[in-house]
Amino acid sequence: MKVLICTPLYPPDIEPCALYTQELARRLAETHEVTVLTYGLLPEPTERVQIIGVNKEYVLPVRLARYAQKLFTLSRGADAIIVENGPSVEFPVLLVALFFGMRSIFHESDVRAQTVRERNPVHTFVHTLVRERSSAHLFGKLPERPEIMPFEEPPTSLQAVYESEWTTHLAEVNGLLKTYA
Amino acid sequence: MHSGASQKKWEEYVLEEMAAVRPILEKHSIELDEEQPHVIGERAVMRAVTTQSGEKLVLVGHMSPPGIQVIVKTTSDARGRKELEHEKKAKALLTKLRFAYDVFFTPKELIFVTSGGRSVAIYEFIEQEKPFTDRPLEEQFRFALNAFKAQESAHATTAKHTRLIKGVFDTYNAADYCDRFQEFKKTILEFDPSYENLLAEVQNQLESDRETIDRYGRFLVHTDFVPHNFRIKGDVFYLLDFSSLRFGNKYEGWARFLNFMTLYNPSLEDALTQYVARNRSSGEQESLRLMRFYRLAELAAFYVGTLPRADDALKTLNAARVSFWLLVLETILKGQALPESIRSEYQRLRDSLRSDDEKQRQKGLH
Repeated sequence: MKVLICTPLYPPDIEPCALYTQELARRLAETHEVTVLTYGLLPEPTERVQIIGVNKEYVLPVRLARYAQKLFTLSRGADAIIVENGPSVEFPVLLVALFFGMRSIFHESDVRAQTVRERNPVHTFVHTLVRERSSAHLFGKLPERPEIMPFEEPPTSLQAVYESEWTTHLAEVNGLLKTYA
Repeated sequence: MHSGASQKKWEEYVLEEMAAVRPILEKHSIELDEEQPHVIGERAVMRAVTTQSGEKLVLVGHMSPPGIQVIVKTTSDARGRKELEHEKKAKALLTKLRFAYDVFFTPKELIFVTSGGRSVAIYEFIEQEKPFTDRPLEEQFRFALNAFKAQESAHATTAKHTRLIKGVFDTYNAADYCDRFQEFKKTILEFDPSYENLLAEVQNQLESDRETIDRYGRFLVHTDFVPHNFRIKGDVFYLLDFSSLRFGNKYEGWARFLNFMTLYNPSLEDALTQYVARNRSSGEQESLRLMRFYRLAELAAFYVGTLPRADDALKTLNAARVSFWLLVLETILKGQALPESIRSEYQRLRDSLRSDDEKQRQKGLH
């Protein structure tokens, strides 16, 4: 299956949602053909994942328009689209959805973006529309990779929890992909 | 004390500056201490490696009331004034950056005066229970890692971010690092052409990996992140010298710190290197390696630059420093660890050549 993941952040950004998206892409790429559309000229290469970046240096309207343009092109060839929340992705997604009928799986994972959105009525309005037009929703806390620290025992039990969380999460994502592709 | 013209000139400069700043300090009930640890020893010849390096004095005093110890930075030099003003602006801006998620603690600025072509900044003195290097290794690791993570949380990626930091912080990209490296190489080769092959190999790696340098670029970095530029009180980590902050490769600060620890605490260097190897991507590990090359060449070139001003023992010591740091560069390039015998041999030589004043200045510095 050809899966397109739309995300505002991707490594080298260090926010949890950037790290999560990279891990999701890496894991989905084991069984799917995965493309990531993100912001940034030099996203971190990820094995078996095609990554398309939109220059963040453009002024906001140009940046959003470029993202929407690339999203439109990429969405034509995708079997399923996963959208990570955040206004810089939700605006272009809404545009493409309104004009070209694109459907997606909407994943609300970025807590910070949610907090910022709550202070901005325009963001809230766009967010609501994107949610309404999406085929499915995903919520929930992102699994966070435990760090391996010097002077400490390897965090084997935390790593096991992390892997187990990912197994559950990936099964949920794959289930939605099959249903809504 | 080191003999010679540079030392004499420095001592005259210190006396003149202290005489000039005293009336300003008196207006604010500040008296300078008898002992001034930051103006003795090699300070006569050395300037910070990376700051705008204007002439300035860092003095210790007491403010009464309320009877607290203070740090006084004073300068009438144009570049020194620019450095102090830059530090003030940097502190102010960092508290406003919405893309900097973690807040740095920094000593409170008590007074900033500009008067008659002179700038004076007075900061609270942060008393720490013990120097950083006297702390247990695990604690050193934890404090250093948390400080790096705090710096990494400020990532200027958009046009808006660029506008916000413009005029306050410098921004370095791969081209800047490569250009500066070319200057370091030229300086070092004028001193000793036998380093041609080593530096050409390093330059080749920097040039061919520009993309990696830029990929992890535009992060806030403290370019002089070494123990004398931070203090720890309780569990709070205070970052000093905001004039050394810029936006650049996220491992530039790591590189400076790890290179420093190669000499002062190889176990900490190893722990931080292991942390990066186990928790960060291969691109980030490469980025750290490249930045270590860059900072080592910078350090060697810095010591070459001091040689015309240094006399006698300090000249011999600084020439040995150039050789030592380029040897460290060579071992990292080969993916090896610096043999303990080389480190201890260098430390013996350094200690034998350091003046009494410098030994005094070094006490409690780290």
